[in-house]
Amino acid sequence: MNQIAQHLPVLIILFPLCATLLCPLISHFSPDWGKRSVISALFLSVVCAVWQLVIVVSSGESIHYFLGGWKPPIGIEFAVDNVNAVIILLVAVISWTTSLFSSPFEKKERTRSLYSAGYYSMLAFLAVGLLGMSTTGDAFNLYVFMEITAISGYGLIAVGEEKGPIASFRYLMTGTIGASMYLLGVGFLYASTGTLNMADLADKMPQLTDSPLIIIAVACLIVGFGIKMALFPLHGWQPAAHSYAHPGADPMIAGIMIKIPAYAMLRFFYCIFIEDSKVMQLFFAALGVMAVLGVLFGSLKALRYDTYNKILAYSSIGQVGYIAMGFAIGNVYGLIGAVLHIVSHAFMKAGLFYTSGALKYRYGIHETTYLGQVYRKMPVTSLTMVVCALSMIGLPPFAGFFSKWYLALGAIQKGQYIFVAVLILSSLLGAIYFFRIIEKLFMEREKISDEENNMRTEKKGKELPWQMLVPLIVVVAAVILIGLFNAYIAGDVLKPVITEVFLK
Amino acid sequence: MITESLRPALAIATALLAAILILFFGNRLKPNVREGITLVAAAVMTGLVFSMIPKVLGGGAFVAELWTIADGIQLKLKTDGAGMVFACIASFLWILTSVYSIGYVRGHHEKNQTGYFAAFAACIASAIGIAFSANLITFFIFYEMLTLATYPLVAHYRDEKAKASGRKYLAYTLVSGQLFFAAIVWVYAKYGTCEFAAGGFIEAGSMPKALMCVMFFMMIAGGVVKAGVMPFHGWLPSAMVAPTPVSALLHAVAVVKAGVFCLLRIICYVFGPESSAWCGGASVLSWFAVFTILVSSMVAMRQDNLKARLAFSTVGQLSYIVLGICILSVYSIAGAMFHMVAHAFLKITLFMCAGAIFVTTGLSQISTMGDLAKRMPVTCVCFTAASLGIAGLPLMAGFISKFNILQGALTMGKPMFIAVLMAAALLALSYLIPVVRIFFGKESSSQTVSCTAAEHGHVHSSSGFDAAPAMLIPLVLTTVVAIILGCFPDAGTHLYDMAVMAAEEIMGEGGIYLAG
Repeated sequence: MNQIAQHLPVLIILFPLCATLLCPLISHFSPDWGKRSVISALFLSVVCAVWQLVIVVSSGESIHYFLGGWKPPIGIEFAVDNVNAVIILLVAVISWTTSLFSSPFEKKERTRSLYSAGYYSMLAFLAVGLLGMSTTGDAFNLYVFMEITAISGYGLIAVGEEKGPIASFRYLMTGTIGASMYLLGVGFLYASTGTLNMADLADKMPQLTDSPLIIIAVACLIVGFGIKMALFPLHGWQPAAHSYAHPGADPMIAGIMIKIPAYAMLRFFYCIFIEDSKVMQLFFAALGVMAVLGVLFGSLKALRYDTYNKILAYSSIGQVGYIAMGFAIGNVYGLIGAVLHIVSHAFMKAGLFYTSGALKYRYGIHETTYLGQVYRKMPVTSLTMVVCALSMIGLPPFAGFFSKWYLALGAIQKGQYIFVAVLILSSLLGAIYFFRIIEKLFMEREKISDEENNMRTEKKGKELPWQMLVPLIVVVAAVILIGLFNAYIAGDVLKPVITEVFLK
Repeated sequence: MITESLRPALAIATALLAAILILFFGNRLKPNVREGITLVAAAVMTGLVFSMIPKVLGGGAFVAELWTIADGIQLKLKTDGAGMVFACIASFLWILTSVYSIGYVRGHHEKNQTGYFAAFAACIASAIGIAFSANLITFFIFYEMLTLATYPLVAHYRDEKAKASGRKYLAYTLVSGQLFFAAIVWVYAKYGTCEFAAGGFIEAGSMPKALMCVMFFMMIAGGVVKAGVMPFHGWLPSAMVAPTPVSALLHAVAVVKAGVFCLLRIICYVFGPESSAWCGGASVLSWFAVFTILVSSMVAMRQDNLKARLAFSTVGQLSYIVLGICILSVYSIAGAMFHMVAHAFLKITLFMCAGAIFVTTGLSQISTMGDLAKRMPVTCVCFTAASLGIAGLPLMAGFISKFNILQGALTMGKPMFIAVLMAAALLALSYLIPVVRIFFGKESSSQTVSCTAAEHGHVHSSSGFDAAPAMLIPLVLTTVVAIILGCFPDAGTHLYDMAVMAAEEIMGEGGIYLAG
């Protein structure tokens, strides 16, 4: 048992990585088993991630895992503490539910074995990238995982809807710039310190702080992470990518693909640089401005659309602004709020994209104008939609309210009242576009005629296949439970590490 | 004398469970079983709430610390005097409105009855939660839950008009709710606590006067909107499109009373009388209340729709309570709290009468209701009694509360308020008595009544005596309770005692706080 427990950090990534490689082979013989290999590999990751979280939280010490036994600064280090154990579990859960969710989709495809092989390999590969990004303690290794994420993301967006390939190409262009900027930044850091290990970088940084090279590196890093997390004004690729990606994989792309770079940014800046250095002041100022503008821009822009996915995509730009705001506040509650918002928004947004995928699956619609009376036919989907939407607005007792509470508390403690005003304004704008959807769902006349309803007779009488219902229920449960018991996550799990590691 | 007990939590859980059961299984159950859930839950909850009265009267309290809801803050319930007064009326009136609702929705063949009863139960659960909340976060959670639970009721008919009032309702309540939220964060960040304490925990002079005034108004934003203080009352008359029992619930029991109760908690339990007076917030708010009392009465006079007239009457009567709180004397606060009770019973009677008239005869405009007393004698008598009670006639519940508020104004030496309160009583008479006169007058023949009734398809028994029993019995009961409370304010549940007790607790030993 202990033998396995030692290797947990790498096992969590290894399962989906093996599945990525094996899936095409198995799919050649049986597409169903290829699919199942990925789902079960991701499920194993979830189990390991829970285990790892329990170990880390109960022991109170972080795990340092040296790949191949090579100690840093030469080897690659995986470092897991309370904060990223939570993030890893989040990634694993959403990856697993997404793999489950997308399994009914491919039935209508003609070239099934090829499709299944490609799609599931990419999904598992995306999980590898995201899990790696949240585990690694090495700046260059982070780049590798970032590229893994991006490459599989390009694929999953391209296999989506008609406009998918264009959206994918756009993301490829901007994403590459982002990755290059990150690499450039890491290059500068390496040039001035001679190390790539984050802990080592942190040790060597105090002597070099405020040198022009470091400031340029920080600027490059902000742009690099900013593009990856779709932070305003570097969000250009995001609305199209999130709207046109494969409806099965969209929850993962929209839910966590932009959150993990945000987490990586938090880890990178707060662990390496000292809070009162000049670079961090630059970081606070830049992120504060970007966050405020992003929150307002995303919320205002979301008002203009009738397409469900577009509304959700722009709302994400606003929500990423919340997270960046937490980084810019930079005290205990600000960071707790940011991390909690990474978790809660991942569930909420994934949940909303699950409902979008479910609508697409059952009726082939994306326009909110067709939502009338859908709640009668799809009660679970509607429940998910309502719970996630209320949480997005930030109404108690759902998860979104509490991340907002910590952010606001942090902002007031630091005396940045403008952030509180922006949070409130954004909640109200969110209320407008989400209640518009809720109103349509429950009060509009029925728009989908019976013929369309019977189009696929084999699905008649059933809301959704169980593979799609499970993710919906998981998400609703998560949004409610995280809301009600957030204090345990915030106070017992995140707070000690945030005060000791991030804000030394 | 504080006992750890889950009883307050159980009371809330009962209603919440009923809401969930109805929502998920309502469509599969027979209507009688579904309504059975509501009634059983209402009875159990009322029993639980009433069982806590003796302890609270003895100066004790039940406290339930459920779990940590946010870092450093407990989800905590506590039954103090003020909360018990609100909880008692909300839970008891839930039974009566449920019975009435059953009669109304069946008589009127409403659609979506399942959602209706589920939202109703959720509303009451939130109201009880608001009553028992021991700190600002718990309070805010239930306060926003109430907003959400009321929205489907306001937009019940799902047509354009209902949608518009639903939007209006959300716009008013969510905007004010967010200001309230920001203020809670501010208070918590500044004072490190958000636990209600009789007499308040914010000390006068702990921050600049102007800033505290801003904080005060942000805090009361939520309460002011739900309590319908002008000019923030806009949502209330438009919410009139909802079915009548909903109006009764909105106006008499849950929503507006939650608003007033919120003001009570903020002014007396967060800021405390001293700070409220010091920062000037209380006196500004009292002038808003005076303005509302006068204007709403005049607007009410011009309404021909019975429900609309009652809606504006509600706006005015609520500001009575607000004024009572803002006068900041022990009498006026006790009076204000008791007026919550009195107004609840009286206004719910009036609304139930209006609904009974509508379902039985199809009439909603006052001018067409001539000679109604012949057709519905009992309803008309109850309406008359409740009208007199609203005006503050002695031996009715309204008198006790208004007398106390007046006495408070007198001891605090505020002649303007005394004049306003007197004028308001006359104004109340002037908009309700004409209705009564039409009921008993002969301005239109009984033939017209039956003609109009025939035009409306939903009249179920045009020849029966008065309204259907399910509607008639609750409204007679509320009238009787209102009269009993007027003659013996302490009868049964000791509501008046609890109100006085809470007021004394707030004002401390001296009893009267003199401003300046």
